[in-house]
This record gives sequence, C-alpha cells and structure tokens, in this order.
Amino acid sequence: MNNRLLFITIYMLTTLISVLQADVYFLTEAIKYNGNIYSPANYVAKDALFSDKWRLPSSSFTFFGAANIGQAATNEDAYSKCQEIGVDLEIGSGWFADIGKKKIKTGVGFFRKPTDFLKGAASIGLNRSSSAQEKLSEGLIGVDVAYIGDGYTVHEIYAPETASQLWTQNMLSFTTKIGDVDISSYFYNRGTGLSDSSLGLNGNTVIGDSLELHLDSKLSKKITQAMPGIWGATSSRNKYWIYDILLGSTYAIDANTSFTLEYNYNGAGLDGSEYDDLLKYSQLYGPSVYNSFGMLSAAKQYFYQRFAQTYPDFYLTLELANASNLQDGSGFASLGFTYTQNQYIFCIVGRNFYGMDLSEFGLSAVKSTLSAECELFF
Amino acid sequence: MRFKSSILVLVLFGFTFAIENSDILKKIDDKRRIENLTFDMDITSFNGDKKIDEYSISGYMKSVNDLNKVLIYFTAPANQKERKMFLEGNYMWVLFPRTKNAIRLSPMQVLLGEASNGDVARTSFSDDYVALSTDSDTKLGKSCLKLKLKSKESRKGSTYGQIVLWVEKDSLLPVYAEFYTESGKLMKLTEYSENKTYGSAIYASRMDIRDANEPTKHTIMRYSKMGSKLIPTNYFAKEYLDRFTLE
Repeated sequence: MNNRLLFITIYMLTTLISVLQADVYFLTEAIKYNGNIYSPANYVAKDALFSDKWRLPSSSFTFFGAANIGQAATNEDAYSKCQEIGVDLEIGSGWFADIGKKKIKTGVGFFRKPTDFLKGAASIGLNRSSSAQEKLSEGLIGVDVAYIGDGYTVHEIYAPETASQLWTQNMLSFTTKIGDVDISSYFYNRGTGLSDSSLGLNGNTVIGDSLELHLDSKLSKKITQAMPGIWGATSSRNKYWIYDILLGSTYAIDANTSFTLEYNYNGAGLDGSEYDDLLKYSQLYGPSVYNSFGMLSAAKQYFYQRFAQTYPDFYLTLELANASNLQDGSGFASLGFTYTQNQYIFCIVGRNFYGMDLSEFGLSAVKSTLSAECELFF
Repeated sequence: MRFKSSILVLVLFGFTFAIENSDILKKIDDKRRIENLTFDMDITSFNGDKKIDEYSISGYMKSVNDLNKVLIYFTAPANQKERKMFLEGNYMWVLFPRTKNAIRLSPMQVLLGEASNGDVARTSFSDDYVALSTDSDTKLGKSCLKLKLKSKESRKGSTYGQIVLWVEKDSLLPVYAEFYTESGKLMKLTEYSENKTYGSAIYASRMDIRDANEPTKHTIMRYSKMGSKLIPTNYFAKEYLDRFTLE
C-alpha cells in the first residue's frame, strides 16, 4: 500500500469513526540507529489506532473493539491489525464474561509488571514508548469470566492455542482488600500440564495523603529463553523456582507533582560470568541473543525513577524518566511533554539510550528516538 | 463529696451538649439524605476568571457501614470520556480511558481541580465527623448555626481533620464551611447555594470550593441531576470499573 492510499484509508476511517464517536490515536517516530540518523522521510513509523466501546441499549451486552493500521517505514507495506473485538456480558448478579479478543493487563508496577502474565503480542521494541507499546499491543483470543463478590473478585481467563497464539494459557486470580491493602494473587499456566506454571502476588496501599507503596512479584518454575553458550537456540531453565520482585513507591509532592521510584530483582535475568558471557555473545553475533530476554529483562537488577509535573494553567505535563540496569550501568532517559485539550492530546517524547559498548543498552542498535503521539476524541 | 458531685454534674452537662450537637448534625444530614443516590455533576475549576478545567461526571453513591462508596463515570470533556473512578472513603482508584487496569492514587493526587474526593463523595457529615460545639452566628447575611466538627477516631486520615460548618437556622441547610487539616491549617472554603429538592430531600446544588492558600483558585461543583437507583453493593469495587458503563 503506498503512502497516498494509506493516507486516504486513514482519512476515511477517521471520518467513519468520528460518526461512531470512537477515538483515534496516531503515532509517528524518528529513530537514530548506531550514530546514523535515518532520514525521517524514509524511516518514520506511522500507526493509527481506532477504538470504541458500545453498549446495546437496555441490555447487558457491551461490544468493544480496537484496530490499527500502520507502516513501519515509508518503503514497506502497510499492515493492519485487529487488537480487540468482542462482547462483554453480564450473565448474572456479579457474574461477567468477556468473549473475543481482548487485552488483559494485570500488575501494579510502573516500568515492569512481573504479574502481567497475559501481555499478548506487542508491537514491542526499543523504539516504542511504553504508552505506545500498550496502545499498539494485541489482545488475546479467549474467554474471561469474572465474579465480583462482596469484598473480593475471582477471575478465570482461558486463551486457547490458535494460529496466532503459541500456547494455551490459563490464569486464575483472586483479588481482595485486607485493611488498607489491595491484594491480588494469581496462578498462571501455559501449555499442557503444570510444568510451565507461575504464582503471582501483588499489592498496594496508601499511607497518609501522599505516599503510595506497591509490590509486584511472581514465582515461576520454568522460563524459556536463549542462553549464553548455545547462541541461536532457546533452552529452558527449569531446575529451580525463579522469583521476580518489584518494589516501588509514588510520592505526591502536591496535586500536580509526583515522584516514582522502583527497584526490580529479576530472578530470570543473569549476573556474574553468565551475564558477561551474554554480553560477549551479543557483541559477537548481534543482539538477537540479548533481545530474546526482552527489554529490561536480561540482568537481575534494575532501577527506575520518574518525575511528573503538571502545569494546569498551560494544559501541559512534563515527564522525566530514567531506567537503569544496575549491573552494567546502562539505561535510558526520556523527556516528554503532553499538551491536553478537550478534543485532542498531543505528546512528544525523546528517549536516549546510554551505556558502554559492552552493556545492555550500549549493544542496542537504537540510540535515540523521538516520537510524536496524537489522540483525537469525538 | 461536693467536689465529686460537681464533677459528675459537669460531665453529665457536657455529655448532654455532645448528644445535642450530634443530634443537630444528624438532622442536617437527614434533610439532605437520598438513599442509593445517582447524580450528574459539572465541575469547573478556575484560576481567577480563567477557566482551567471543566468536567462532567455521572455517579452512583451508596453508604455501606457508614462509609460512602462512589462510582464515577466521566462524560466530558471528550479526552476524559470513559475515565472511571471508584471512591471509598478517602481512598481512590482510577481507570484512565483506553487503559486496562485501575490504579490506586493517594488523596493528594486529586483529579478534579480544587475538589477533593471527599468533596464529591460527601453527602453526610455525621458519618465522618462529631460536632464539638454549636453556636449562633451570621454568615453571608443569613442567621446560622455554627458547628465545629472533628473527624471521628475511626476516620483518622480522612481528607480534613476539622470542619467549621454554618447551617441556616431554620432549614438546617449548609451555607458555608471551612475545612482544616488535622493540625488546624485552613485548607478550603466552601459556599453552598442554589438549594433544590428531590423527593423529601433538600440539597445545595452548587458548591463553590476555594483554595484558602491561593484564593484565586476555585472550583464550582454543580449537580445538574439527582436521582436514586439501586446498584448491587458488590459492584462498588475497583474490579467493576472496567465493566462500568452508563445506561
């Protein structure tokens, strides 16, 4: 699909969506790779996302859907994806069932969510901001049944193996509030049998007027990832239980200013000589070994900080964030501005990846990104 | 013996006054009480004459064990449509539009201009506060009763530790209130006006909330519609937010 056709398609869909009162989200990015900045004319990724929710009058049916079309680079073909489509049914007092394709998000962490078991397929990469990744990720096809009781909620999510889903996935969760603490516990299982299972626990609370504390953790019996020494293949480490724990806090200095700190111990990551080997193999053979772990997941220890300040008189929010790999000192820093008006939100975010050559972010081909996001509301 | 009797008389005297004060506070609440309240509200915040934010919300409120639980659905502006909130006492959970899991915010992270969660969720003073004293006073040209309220021990940590409330002597409808922190720092001033009726209840449909430290900043909360609807108690939960839609 050429540029003009893509533009006409987006224009027509936007018109249709405006009639349906849905939302439209546009993302465009410029990316700097390994010291060479590619001309935005050739290497600007574009995405447009359309989403809507519609309740059948006087019924317990709510239909939901989201789709996006985009183009990774000007010379490449455009793609289209259905991210969500389905129906939410109230099947009895407190009983609900969602059937279809749906994004499911769990966890209370900010930069990582160990208990986010059902992430679904994401348009993920170093070149995408976390909000863009969340918006452009795809849902899972399955059934989500929930019972909201008096003071507790039980969820069962079943996503069968399909052409687009590699495994059958099950997640059972129980959520309640004990005193002032929200607590959610999870049992997650992938594939057949119980060999690939995880347990999760997360919780958060508020102390006084300003301080929020959160914990997000999981215990997994088995992980599948590439390992140093066997580059090009994937293997499983299933000899011991692996835990992944994130501790964090947000402090609200006043109504418009907040500061977030998070520490993550990622038991599935590597350290010591294993980690050094991973870096060396990645340098020799390319970052594909490293990338098999995913962003901010190869090492054992990470730290994140975020400062956000809103200026209500100017409809502007400033956001500064930094994520660091505590083992090799690499990381990324981002600076974002969001301008909010009734009918639209415009956001511009710059991110810079730093670190020595032999480090997680030093090995990254992407060195910096500049993305512009615009959301239109009808 | 005489000394002990005097102490007993003083204690009984004080006790009687405390009961009278609490009775008045309860009467003030009973005048305005609507069971299973539903409402539409417009919230507009200003800095001087400049309009900063304007929200329209719809809400369902239920009192469970003397604790107000509120489900809020934003209907305007367009960029906030479908933002949903669950308030339980002083606690707040928010589900932002186009996100999947509700997040918990601290009371400081108010999202409604000068209006706090408590301002939106409060239909009752007696659930959270005890009246320490009642005096006659004149406020905004009206003959009023002036009540000094203190948060109940069981509600320590609520948005305001102390309130001075002026109610009209005849109707017992709120006219004006000053809201203080636990330590006694004046935080907000609220003027109540435009009384309306729903069934047997009478309520102030307009509240002008002013920041005591920055008086140019103020937020007007105005009920555009009041009603009553029975929503199952278990739906007043953060887990319901994702499925919460307006009919």
